[in-house]
Amino acid sequence: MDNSSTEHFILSRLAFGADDAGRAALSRTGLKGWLREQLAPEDGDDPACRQRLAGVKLRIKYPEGKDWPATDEVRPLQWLDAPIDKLAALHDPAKPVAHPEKQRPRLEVSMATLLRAVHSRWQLREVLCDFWHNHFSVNAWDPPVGTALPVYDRETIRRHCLGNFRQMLEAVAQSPAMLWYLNNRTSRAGAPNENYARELFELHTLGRDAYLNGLYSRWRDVPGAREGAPAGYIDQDVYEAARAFTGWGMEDGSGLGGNQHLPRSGRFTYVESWHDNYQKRILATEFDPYQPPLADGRKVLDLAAFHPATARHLAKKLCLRLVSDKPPESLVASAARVWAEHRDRPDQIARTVEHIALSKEFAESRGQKVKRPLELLASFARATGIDFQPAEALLYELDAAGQRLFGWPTPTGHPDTGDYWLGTNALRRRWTLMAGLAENWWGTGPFDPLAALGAKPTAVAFVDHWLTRLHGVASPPVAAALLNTAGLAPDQPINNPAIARRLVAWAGMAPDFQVR
Amino acid sequence: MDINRRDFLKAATAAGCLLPLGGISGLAYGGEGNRPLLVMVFLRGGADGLHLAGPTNDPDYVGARPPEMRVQDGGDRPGHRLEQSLDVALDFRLHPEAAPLAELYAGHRLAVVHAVGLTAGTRSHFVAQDLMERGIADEKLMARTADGWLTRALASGGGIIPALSATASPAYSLHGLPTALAMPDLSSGSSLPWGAPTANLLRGLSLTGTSPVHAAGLRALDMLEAVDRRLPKDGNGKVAPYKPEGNANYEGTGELARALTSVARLAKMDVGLSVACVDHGGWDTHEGQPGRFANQVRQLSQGLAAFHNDMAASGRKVVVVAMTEFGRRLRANKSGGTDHGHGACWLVAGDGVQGGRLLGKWPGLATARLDQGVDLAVTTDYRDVLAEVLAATGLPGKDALPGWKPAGRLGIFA
Repeated sequence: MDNSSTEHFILSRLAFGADDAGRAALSRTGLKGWLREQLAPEDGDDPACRQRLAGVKLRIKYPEGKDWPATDEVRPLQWLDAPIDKLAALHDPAKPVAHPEKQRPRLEVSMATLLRAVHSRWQLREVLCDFWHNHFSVNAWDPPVGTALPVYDRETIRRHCLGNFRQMLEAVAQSPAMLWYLNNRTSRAGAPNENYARELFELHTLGRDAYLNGLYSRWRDVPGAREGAPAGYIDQDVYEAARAFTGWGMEDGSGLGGNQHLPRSGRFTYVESWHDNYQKRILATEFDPYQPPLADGRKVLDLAAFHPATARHLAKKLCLRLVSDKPPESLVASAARVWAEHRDRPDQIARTVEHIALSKEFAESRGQKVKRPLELLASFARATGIDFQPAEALLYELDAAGQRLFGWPTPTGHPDTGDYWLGTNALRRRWTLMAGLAENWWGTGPFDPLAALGAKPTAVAFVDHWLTRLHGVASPPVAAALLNTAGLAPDQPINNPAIARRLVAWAGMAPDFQVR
Repeated sequence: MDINRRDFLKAATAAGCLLPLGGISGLAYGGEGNRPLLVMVFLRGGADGLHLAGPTNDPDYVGARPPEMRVQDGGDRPGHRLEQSLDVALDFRLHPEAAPLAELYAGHRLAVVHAVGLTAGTRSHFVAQDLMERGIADEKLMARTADGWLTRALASGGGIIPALSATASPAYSLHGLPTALAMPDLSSGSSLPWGAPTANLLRGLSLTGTSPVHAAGLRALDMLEAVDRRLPKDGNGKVAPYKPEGNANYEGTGELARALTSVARLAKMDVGLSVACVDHGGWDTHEGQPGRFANQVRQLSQGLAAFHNDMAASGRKVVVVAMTEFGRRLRANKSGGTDHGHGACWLVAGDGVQGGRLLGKWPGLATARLDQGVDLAVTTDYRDVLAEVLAATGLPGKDALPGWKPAGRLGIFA
């Protein structure tokens, strides 16, 4: 393979697709240098991306209500940097606001996500943010979760996406979005809610493969349990962990008894009187009664985060995202080793990603992943160089193609294998997405594919140019098929912008552009 | 045969040779003969069976819930009484919003199966749904059972489009079936941007490779074209609105309208449709149950009745199953809702159903009879229902339900 198609492959996997800047950076520094830079991004957005975000405007419209006037205006993004108490105030019963105002924080994060996927200089961070949002999935289409989304995205996912998993896990456990979504905010001594504890083990850490359901209550029979190193978890671990997290709540105005109430700041809080202080046994480890505040929950997070099954589960999920639907066992094992070796390091996740990206298995996995609709959209925008503006309508296009941004209904997150994305109508909507972006149906930006080629290119030069940009190589049979469909002879000059746009959109619909 | 059923009927009538209805539908629908179409409606979120069909005069029922959270036998909104022999001492009634279902029941077209579900008691929505859509009861079989139960039930065979997933995401019950059309809404059409040139190009490109994307592309193009060719269009090429037959009315049935009319539409095309999956979400009523549940039941009842009338008028036989992953707790919670429970209530309606009966085995609601002391027990393995449905719809279904052993006949069908 030549350099340009290798660069194309790398940027399709570790970025949201190949663009001019990405190619230039890669060929300047090579993969190692590029990774070093990408894995240590600046805090927050790069200046150009920040400037674009400041220019995004989104319409909001709703009729008059008892407590608000009719509203129809175009507003810039206002919630991305907002603290949780300002966001939580959207649910203050004393100051009711219209429903679209409550959806606004989620819409704004969605717009920022689209924009960053296309334009952020820190592409690998964007890829990892998408991965972690899917791993620690919350359904933000539910308003109380959605209003907390800016804080979840900013302080939980973005802050830790390349960092240390144990720290990230605690940030998730204490995030208003997850406390609401998996109900831990209402978990009390005597009436624990096992929702979070179950997903903590099953989805966030050890994984379903380590769920030894058949042993239900016989913890001593779990292999390794008598030595304090159980191979997996059972329902009793879920129940006891639920007790350990009682009292991990949020300031949501709940009554504390005696006419006392929590404030309504939406912040994480620990309510000692709601915590079950008695002894527990979790993952074959004894917990003494009456531990200091938060100690029980933190100990569970330690046990879960550092469990060998977790290293494997997370290594496999990263490989599933970055390498293949069936990642080679050799790579999963070595990535799990790197993960475990770096468990106390602040750059644990970055080191694991680097290991995967530099592996032989990674280099040999071209074309093995079907793009998610967001990846398809962003890679088209990046390859074409459209001056891309995010639009609300895109969220419904992505949804129709199978990806409901921040809105997967269950805590599993979207499936990460190709078959899910290849349903009949999902494919049709992927093809439609390419047409709509090329023809600017949703106000994402005009596209003039002739402008890049100078005066009067021949049809074949035009098609070769765009195939190279979209597919990494200009395959002659694909080029011939495109020209044939447009009814153009290879040497014929091409000057009709409508036909030119169709040719590029067709290149985007082709099977080679559907995979990364 | 490229003639649609309506044209065929017209031609047959004009020629004065109108055959008995069964004969015509057998001809017009192609390969599947007169086998009923199986429609699985999945009530996602755990529908509260005790609020859908409740033993109104059971003191354990009355004592566990405030009046607005149960079906009542009196007052200004009494439930619809169900004639039944399951437990003659009890006065089982359907929710007041279920009048269309009560009518189907009284007309012996609808059977109600109570206390049905997964024998291994998970309270997790997605584990329960994952198990049911794979047709298994044991999580240990999960890894070995990659496909959906309907995929195995269909085996091979069928027409151009033997299965439809009229759901937002493809139904897992049909996972692994290449010829399942995954399309939530036929009324927005199945055309491609810029039409035939795009289709021809993509077909050509899809033929140049063997990857899953190439294969899926080809299948999608075939199915989309088959649908597009048969969808009636107006003068501008827009898909004509669906016109139900008989007195069927899908209005007010929410998301069900889109899905059920899509099923009806495809069922009337000669594509060999054998099974369809539909989702009805919104049953996870942890809070605000009285209003939300009434709305859900209204949509479901009107939707099933409309579909039943539509299909009956068309002469196409159907069996409709409304299933859910689990029921809800007997005792109401403190937020005006109910939490995840165990035993559920399923509905089976359509051709061949020996309706007007409450089926299963009623375990009772006394604390000692409850699962874990809190939930309606499961006395009927959900797969007992599915097995009878498979037999009645003539699906091969040899390995559809791995690990299942017959435990006695429910007798849903005549």
